[in-house]
Amino acid sequence: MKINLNVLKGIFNNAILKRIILSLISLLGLSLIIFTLARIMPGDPARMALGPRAPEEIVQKYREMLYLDKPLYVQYYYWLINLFQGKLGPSLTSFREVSVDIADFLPATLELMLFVAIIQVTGTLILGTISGCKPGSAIDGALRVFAYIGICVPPFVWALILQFVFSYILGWFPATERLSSYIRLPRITGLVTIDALITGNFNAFVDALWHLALPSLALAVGAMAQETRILRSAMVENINKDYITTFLSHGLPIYRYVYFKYALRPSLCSTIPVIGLDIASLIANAFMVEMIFNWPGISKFGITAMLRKDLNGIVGIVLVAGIIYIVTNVIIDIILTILDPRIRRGGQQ
Amino acid sequence: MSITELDYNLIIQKEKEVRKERFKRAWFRFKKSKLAITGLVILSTLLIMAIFAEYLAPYPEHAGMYVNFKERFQYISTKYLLGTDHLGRDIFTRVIFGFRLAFMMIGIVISIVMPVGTVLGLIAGYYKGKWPEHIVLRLADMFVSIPPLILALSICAILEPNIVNAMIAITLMWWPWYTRMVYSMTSSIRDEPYVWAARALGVKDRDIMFKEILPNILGPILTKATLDAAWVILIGSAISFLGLGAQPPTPDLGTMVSEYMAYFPTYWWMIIGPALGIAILVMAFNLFGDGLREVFAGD
Amino acid sequence: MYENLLTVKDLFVKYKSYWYVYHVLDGVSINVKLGEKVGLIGESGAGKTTLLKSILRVLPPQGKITNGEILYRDVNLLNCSKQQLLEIRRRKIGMIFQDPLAALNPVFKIKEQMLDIIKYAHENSGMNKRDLENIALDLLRDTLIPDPERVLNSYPFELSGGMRQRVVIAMALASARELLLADEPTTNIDVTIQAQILKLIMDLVKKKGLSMLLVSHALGMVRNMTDRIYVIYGGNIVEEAPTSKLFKDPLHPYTRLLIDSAPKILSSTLGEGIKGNPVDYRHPPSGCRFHPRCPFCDQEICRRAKPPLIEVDRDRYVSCYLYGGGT
Repeated sequence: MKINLNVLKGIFNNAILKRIILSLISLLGLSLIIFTLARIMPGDPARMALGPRAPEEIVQKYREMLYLDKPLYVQYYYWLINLFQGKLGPSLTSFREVSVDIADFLPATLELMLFVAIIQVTGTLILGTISGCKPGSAIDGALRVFAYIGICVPPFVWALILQFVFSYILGWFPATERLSSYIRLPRITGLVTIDALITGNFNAFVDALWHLALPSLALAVGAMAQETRILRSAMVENINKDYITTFLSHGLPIYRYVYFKYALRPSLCSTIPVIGLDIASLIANAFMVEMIFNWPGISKFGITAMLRKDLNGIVGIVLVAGIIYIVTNVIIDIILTILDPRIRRGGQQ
Repeated sequence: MSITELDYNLIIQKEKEVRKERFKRAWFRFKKSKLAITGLVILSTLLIMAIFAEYLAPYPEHAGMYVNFKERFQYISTKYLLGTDHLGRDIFTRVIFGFRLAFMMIGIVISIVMPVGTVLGLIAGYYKGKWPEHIVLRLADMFVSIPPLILALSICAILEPNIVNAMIAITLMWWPWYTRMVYSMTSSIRDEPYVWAARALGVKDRDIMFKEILPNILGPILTKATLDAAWVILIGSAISFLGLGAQPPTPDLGTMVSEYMAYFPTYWWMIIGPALGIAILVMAFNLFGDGLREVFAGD
Repeated sequence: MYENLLTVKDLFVKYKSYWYVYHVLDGVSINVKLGEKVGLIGESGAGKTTLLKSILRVLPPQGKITNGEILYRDVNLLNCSKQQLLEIRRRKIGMIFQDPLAALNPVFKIKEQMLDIIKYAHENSGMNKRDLENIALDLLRDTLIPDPERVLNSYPFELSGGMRQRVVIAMALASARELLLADEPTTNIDVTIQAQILKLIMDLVKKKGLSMLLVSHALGMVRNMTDRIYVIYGGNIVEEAPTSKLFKDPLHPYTRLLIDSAPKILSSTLGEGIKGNPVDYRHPPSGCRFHPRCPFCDQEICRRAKPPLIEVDRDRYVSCYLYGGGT
């Protein structure tokens, strides 16, 4: 596809900018709600962080350091000031800066999400198109059953099933961790596969892929099932449209042109928002799957923060998840704008 | 009565007849829909099991705290249909009680979200372009600005992790999605002739919303609520799986999976019961919801 | 005597949905001779579009041709090779669709869509993209589009209804070298430009020497444009006659009601319309499919057996027991 200047101009139109700003405001609003909720709940965060045996003076000092003794709006004010400097406040569990903790753990999760996204998108495209082109066929029936199972089984159960079958019984894939313990790799981007490629360590790259396989599959299956269903029904609907009859009646090759070109693209327009939402939500499901595969990702930090009521940590997770959400949504908007001229040229959707 | 008023009344009357006819057809289709019937049968079976858990479960006392170390880690047998857990409790019994808990959660959450969400959605959709719409939508926007599960988890974490707070978290997570659905349906039919006619006749806004608009979107609302119920169960199980919902020894399906995972993969069969329980429950709601969609869509 | 270009013999088509089977076409036979312009009239839902789609074998997946024969010259489209069928679709028959907005893919430029079609209409002629584009421009000029370059670079939603229909006609012409199938070409466009579009089609058919099968429920339009007319009701051909004779002296009760119910310019009264509902294809009426609505039906045989299409006059066929055919 040719992307000329006009298209680019259309993409960064006011609508998308407006959406980014609105979403940022919403996110800030939500963080305010969570922040307030966290502070007005009974319980003393400083005491909880330092343990019951810490002397009162130290706890009091800690409280002052975190502005916990000040009124709520003052706390929020300092929190916001910090936020604009890229700081989220100290974690009450690790005693490190929350943003440092997140920067430590997030790359592993992002790598996982990247691979899930790749599996999900290719899988959906292939399976959805196949069953959409031949509704009612045996393969369509099989895919429908698969889709139903995929939707009904939660991701942590998929993770357990895959881990049990492919790692404990068959022994094909490793059960936990990101890399085999004998491989040493310097941390450059934090994404193991990319670090391996940068350093030219091919063995490490393969090993990393090997470790990625099961967790990313476990995360991908459920969402893929749902997306396949949506793409399929969009394909079926579009194949019944008049314009498909037009191209058929002109004798265009049925698969290469009629289905894969003229029916697929409009169908993608309705499927891509769902795929985007699923990919943006991956970080949530990653919490469970990472726990099962002992993946050193955001869940390591997040679950501890949540179970031990680390308020700064929780708000940090919320913000990170929200920003991932916004970024994914913007990407989706851009893709949609490229695919669907009706949005690009400001026509009705 | 002037001629225009007569016309308006005619339009409204006609709409009522159409609606009646549509519901009659929907009922007819429902009886013929294999999906809906299958879903309903599974769902009611599970519900009956849940209600009469004390009488149907083989070892009702195993539901809560109960220890019998002699019979722990039993494999699947006729005595223990799904084996026993690390404290020697019958997993099958606990799964049945898990259904009860899940239905309770769904029931409570739905009975809070549906009325509130419906009213908010109707108001926002009916007063499109005015301030009620902006308030409701912007508020909803805030709650959908992060993944639903993360929102629910954080709320659970801030409140104490227990089953009541899990329900609060799910309610807070779900309402914006539901409200937005009602909103979009309402705003798409608020310009239909019969709504105009009612407005021209001076019918009160409240009556238009609840007597003219609501009956027309009831079908899709029910469909959406049923499909969402499946989703709510998945989210709920994820919350308790991560230890932020019901705590042991509560027989919650998600909590059970996380409890039994400690003995994985040596005693792998312990997982089967609760995992299958979640899957069946979700599947039943999905089947029923898809059936309903078929029933209400084919006009 | 003309040579037969298209012959449809005893065609049965049914649609299957999840719950029902719709028996739409019920033994339809028509033919179009070389150079002839044939009309097909009937209410909406009488099976006209289904018939056209069956001819090109582009029925939706639920539609099945269960019986019959479709001959194009001497090729049977129902069991010819794939290549022959594609050849006919690409270079012999072109079709104009009812709704020009729906007939164009919303997310591709007109250029992209037209060039794909033209590429296959001129397969193996060694043309490059430039040549194909010139052909597209010529076709658009043929349809009297004032600014073909701009239209080519537009998306369908950016054009007016009349413009879109011209594009659809241009696309049909790319493939129609012998026969043009027109499916209610003016129903979905603005009343003020319907006449223009009709004249355009007429002129083009004449200029290119095409045969035409025109489907419509607008009688006035068919009357001016065709040599011969088939009347279709509920998936049955009920009458066939040369255009002038049909309008002067309609035979079948349905045709009479149809012509009476059309608004006339000279008389100030509106037509009465036809009482009753169109055929429910899930459970079509027994015997003559028109009998539940027919004001003349008083014979028991109407309900029992389907009336055969009998020749009552030279070139005039009617399927009704009022004109014989019963025992």
